[in-house]
Amino acid sequence: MVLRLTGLPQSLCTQRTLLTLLEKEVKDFELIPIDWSTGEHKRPPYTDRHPFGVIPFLEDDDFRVFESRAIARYLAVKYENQGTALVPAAGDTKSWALFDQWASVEYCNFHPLVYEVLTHKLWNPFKGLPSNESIAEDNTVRLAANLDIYNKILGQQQYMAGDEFSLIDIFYMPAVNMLIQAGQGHLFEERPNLKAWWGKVSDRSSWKKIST
Amino acid sequence: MVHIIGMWQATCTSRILAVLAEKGVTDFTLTEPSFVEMKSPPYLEKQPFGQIPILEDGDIRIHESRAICRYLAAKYHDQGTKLLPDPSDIKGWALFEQWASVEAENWNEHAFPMVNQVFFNKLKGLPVIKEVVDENREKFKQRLVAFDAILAKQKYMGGDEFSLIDIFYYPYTKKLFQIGEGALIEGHPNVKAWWERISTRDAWVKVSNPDYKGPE
Repeated sequence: MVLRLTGLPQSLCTQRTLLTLLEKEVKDFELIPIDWSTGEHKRPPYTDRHPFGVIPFLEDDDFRVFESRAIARYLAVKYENQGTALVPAAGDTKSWALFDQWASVEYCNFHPLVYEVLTHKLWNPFKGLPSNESIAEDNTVRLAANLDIYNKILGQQQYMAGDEFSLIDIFYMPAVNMLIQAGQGHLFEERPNLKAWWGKVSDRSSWKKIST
Repeated sequence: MVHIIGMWQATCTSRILAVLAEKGVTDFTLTEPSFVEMKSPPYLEKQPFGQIPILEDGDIRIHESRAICRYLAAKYHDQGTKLLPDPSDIKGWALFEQWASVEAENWNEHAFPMVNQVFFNKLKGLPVIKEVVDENREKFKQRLVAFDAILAKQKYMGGDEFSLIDIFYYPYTKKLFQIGEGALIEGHPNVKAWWERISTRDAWVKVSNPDYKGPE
């Protein structure tokens, strides 16, 4: 069995899959870097495998899958009998319904806003591209309003999908870290339950290995 | 009995109605909350973001339209159109999740902001930020090249068969046409063909009709 993950350790999306592998105590995998500086991932042969030309990309023998959250779900189910339990048990309809609810909350109410904030406050400046202040501001305001709601949710449950750490928390962690790097850490510092959640998840040994 | 809190003509609710129609489920109810009610404390207990839709089914209560769709597609797995992989098909599910993520990250990521600005902001009396529309249109154009290449190799967004993945695309693709951005779809032959295939399905034609108020 050969598990090959194409990605970069500092990439937000690759970090979701690396965290999953660490939490599931999977050691037998290869991380294959791409050459970001030459745009290797934006042209064939990479784009023959990944039509959107982004990372990460997983190969499990001859099985291929892309999209970090899909890769993470696949790994969490494949290795369900080892490491941290990251997804509900098969057949637990109610738990899976709630898991999919909280998964959707992340990619609908958090990710698109964070992506715009990071684009205009971190990535565009890094690449020497122009940033649009009004788009950054609009998305920061809307993100802050949603983080108030997250703060209330985390007053009633310990983690993003309930009272146990799960794959849903992993979906958030790299983006939260990058927001902090982009100078937006106050968004979490100012909200006590969010701050406590970040303190818990960033204290996990998997996160400490990723972030060094 | 399955109970939906939503609106017959709302974008996200229409995903759920399409699932119920594809599955031939007629035994459900839908109540429409007012906008005031959606921001009230009892409603926020059920849906902290103050949005529709919500599903109630016995002791299960969930929000998020795609999660509700997944739940219903699994509940009614043995009837109507097959919409999900078989439960034990781990690779089938991995690919399902891949294509589900593609919809959220590469299609809705740009379709939603455009629709939000031009349609929803206007409805709410808020200003339309033209830069958001223009920037997302340009990014969407690049994504559509990749979608066209994908749909040259498979008939539907999740593979060679119609599935729940295609249903996820319905509402905001329809809205793109409504806000005058249909050329984005029509300009790519495989994307255009895919949209024609799925938008003419009986279930969607029925639930997307402005007069639809549930099964007769």
